[in-house]
Amino acid sequence: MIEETRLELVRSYLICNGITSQDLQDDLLDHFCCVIEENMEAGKSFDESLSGAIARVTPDGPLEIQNDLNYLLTVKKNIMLRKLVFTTSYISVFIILLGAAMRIPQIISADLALLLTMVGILLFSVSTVPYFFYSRYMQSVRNLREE
Amino acid sequence: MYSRELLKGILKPIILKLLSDNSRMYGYEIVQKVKELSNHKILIKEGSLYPALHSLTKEGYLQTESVMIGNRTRKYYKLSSSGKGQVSPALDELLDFAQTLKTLFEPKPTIA
Repeated sequence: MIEETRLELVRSYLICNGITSQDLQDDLLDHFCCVIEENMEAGKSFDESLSGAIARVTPDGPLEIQNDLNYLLTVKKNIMLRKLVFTTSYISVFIILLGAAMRIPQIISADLALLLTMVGILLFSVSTVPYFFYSRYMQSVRNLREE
Repeated sequence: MYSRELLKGILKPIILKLLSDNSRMYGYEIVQKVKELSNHKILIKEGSLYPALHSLTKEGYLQTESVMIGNRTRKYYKLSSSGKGQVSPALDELLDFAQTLKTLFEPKPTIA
């Protein structure tokens, strides 16, 4: 059984390398310990066993596993969100253009054209604009983590 | 050893099948068992295993049980009732796929 101080060393490695999910942290910590124990039983020192476990369990770094997990857990929700935002964006642009197109040949009144334009802009402001800034924010966080 | 790309699509059926044959298993045990049963031909990468296990848990096919092993937590995975219902369709689809691949790649007799 691995001593508490060594266990904390492995835990620190996982946390410092981006494992934020407690469930994943528990899984990987136990997995690392099993591999380390296997290596130590084969006569290796703790340091050699830890290096071996890092190379075997997280060859691309622990963050890769956390990112894959985040992707798998959120992919369906993100696709739905994108569908909603893109549909709303299309509708809002369509309403704005419709207002302009019907106003120019004076099919509708100026007030109605203004109302349509305002509705389109409002829809655009509450869906597309927040989503655009949220995406930019998430991208900047990802870039920061990869630096 | 098969490539990671080949294993990607069959990982979930493998997990479901293993857990249907064993009441509960933890991650390291799954990796070792698959290695042993496949004569070292299928080496599951931890980077693929845990996202798949967590995804199956979120979809409701697996349940977890946490047990303290000394000073660390070990999470055992087991099939939920809906997971038990998924085993047979997942395996049937995979076996059918394997049969189709065999038909596709097997040399056909040529007519003289």
